[in-house]
Amino acid sequence: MNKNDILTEIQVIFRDLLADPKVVIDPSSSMDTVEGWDSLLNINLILAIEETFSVRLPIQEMYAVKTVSDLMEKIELNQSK
Amino acid sequence: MLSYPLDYAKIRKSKRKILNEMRQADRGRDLRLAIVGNHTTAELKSYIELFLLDKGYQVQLFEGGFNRYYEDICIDNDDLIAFDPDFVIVNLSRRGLSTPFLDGKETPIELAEQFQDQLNSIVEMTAKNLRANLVLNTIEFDHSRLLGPFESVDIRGHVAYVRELNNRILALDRFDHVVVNDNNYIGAWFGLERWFDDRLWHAFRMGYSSNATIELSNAYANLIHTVLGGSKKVLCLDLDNTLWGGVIGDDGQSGIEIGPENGASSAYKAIQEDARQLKHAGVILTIASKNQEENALLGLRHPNGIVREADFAVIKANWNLKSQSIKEIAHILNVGVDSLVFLDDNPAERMEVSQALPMVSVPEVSNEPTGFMKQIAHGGYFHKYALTHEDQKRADYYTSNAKRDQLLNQVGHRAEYLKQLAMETEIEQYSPLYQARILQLINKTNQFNLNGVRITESELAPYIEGQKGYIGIYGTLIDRFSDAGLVSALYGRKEGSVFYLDQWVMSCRVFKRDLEKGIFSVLVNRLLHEQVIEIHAKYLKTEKNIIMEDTLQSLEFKWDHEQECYTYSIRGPITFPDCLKRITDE
Repeated sequence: MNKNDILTEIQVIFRDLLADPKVVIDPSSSMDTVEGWDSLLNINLILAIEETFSVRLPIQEMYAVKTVSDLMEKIELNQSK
Repeated sequence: MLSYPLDYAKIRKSKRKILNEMRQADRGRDLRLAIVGNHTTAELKSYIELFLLDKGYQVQLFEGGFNRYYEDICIDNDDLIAFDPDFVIVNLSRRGLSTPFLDGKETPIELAEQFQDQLNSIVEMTAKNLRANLVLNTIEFDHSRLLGPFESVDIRGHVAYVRELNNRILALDRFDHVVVNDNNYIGAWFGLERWFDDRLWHAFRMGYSSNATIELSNAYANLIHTVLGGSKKVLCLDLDNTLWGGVIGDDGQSGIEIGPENGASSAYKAIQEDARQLKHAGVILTIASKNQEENALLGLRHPNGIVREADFAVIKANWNLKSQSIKEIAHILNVGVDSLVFLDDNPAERMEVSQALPMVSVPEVSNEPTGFMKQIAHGGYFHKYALTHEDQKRADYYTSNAKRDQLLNQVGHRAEYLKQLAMETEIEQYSPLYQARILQLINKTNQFNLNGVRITESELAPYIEGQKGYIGIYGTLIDRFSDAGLVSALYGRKEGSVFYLDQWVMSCRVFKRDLEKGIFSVLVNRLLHEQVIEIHAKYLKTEKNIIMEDTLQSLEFKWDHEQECYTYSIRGPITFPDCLKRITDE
């Protein structure tokens, strides 16, 4: 799965979780720039990512997620394992 | 999606969307719910709301501060008191609980006693400051035992310590306003290994895994719904391949599978045993089967069978659509179709019923008999919080109805029929002995119900205690065929010369028996004594209480346009109906 595919899937997850079909994200999107991306959403985001990409983030990485590029990096890192 | 088995990933993804949609629709019943706990409860809160919305409640929520459950209820409690909840959930997760260590500083019993003191204060302060039901929970066992068996057999071990706490928690259930959710059972059922997600605890202080949070929220919503009288009344069963294996019409009595033999026979026997258990708990059993009636009865007379013809209040065995049979069953039992759960192995029959009667609960069972009753259990349809004397009598009452019908046919006219029933009634002021039944009756009755208003245990308390100005009267009914138990209750407040009748309910089992006339006569004669000259009945029309308006009019209540209520002017005593014999303790 290339970066673009991953980004598209992440966007679908954001749209579901925020119940907003118009949300657009890019790698630089962060908890500061996406409305509604708070620490609670972060938990569900990580769980949805784990389910969608069949990965499991260890606690160090889970706690460090703040931006979409963080998420993409964790997915690539854990998928290649 | 919100019924068993729960699809956690799907629920997680669409939670916000469903919440947005359901919050907008008018759900009808208001429910004020406070959630406090010893971990991050935000997720639990939103899922509980989701499941309660799905059950038809409009939910207002209050969330306590992180790990401030004690302070929220016992110390800085102004916000909670102002919120005025119907229910307070104190959710304690094993993760947020301090457990004894082997350093010997405090003994486990000392720690358990501190814990219990804290809970005692919570129980006491809730009763003192709030009218709410308090929902406590048993604590889950941990997902791992560092010291193995020692943890279970020695009070210094984590498992044994939690067991000690749980015994103390369960003992608090004796208080009227306390209910206990058995989280430890639910965690064990779910699997303790998956119940916790240590990453979520250490990173976000969440007391449960996300899937467990969803499952637990469902359990809390079911418990609240059960306490508020939301359980179903009637189980309607198919016969072939549901109560026994095979087709009685083709295979004959000796060919169907039911009994102690290994294999499917044993599984069907277990289903019949569960059905009998439900009957003894007050669930009304009925049958909707596509069969010749004689064949259906032949199946029920199988020597290895557990439930018999006499265990069923109504048996519909014919070739009509099952939705038609179910409508007739509801009509005969005088209950709404929404009180029915329909269990059938055949997906086509389930679909026909679901489409024709969407209010009927139709669990989507697999074609595998070992899953049938599990589905009924997990659906929460017949959950109970307490088992009353009336629950246990109910099934007998319905099955003896056939004998009453026979009598009515014999004697022909109603007055004579009522006389021959030899009815006896006890009509008295509320007493603590009947509190559980009165509460259950008020919260479960839909048809003979003045206004649809439900009540909590603490709201009922002043009537039970008979505080000044608070009047509560109940009525029981026994006839020559069976004992229906406590079947009617009313309550209201006396202010000056007016009695405000706030609620009056009567079980549909005893309609048309003149019991309402008897109770009303007792009420009026008592109010006369207390110099009351007028009764104001707080009548509200609901979807189901058509009978109420007719009753009020037949008792000579008049609609008062100014007060917007039904009023009755007391002019003198009312005679007690001839057909009833009033029994008293004296």
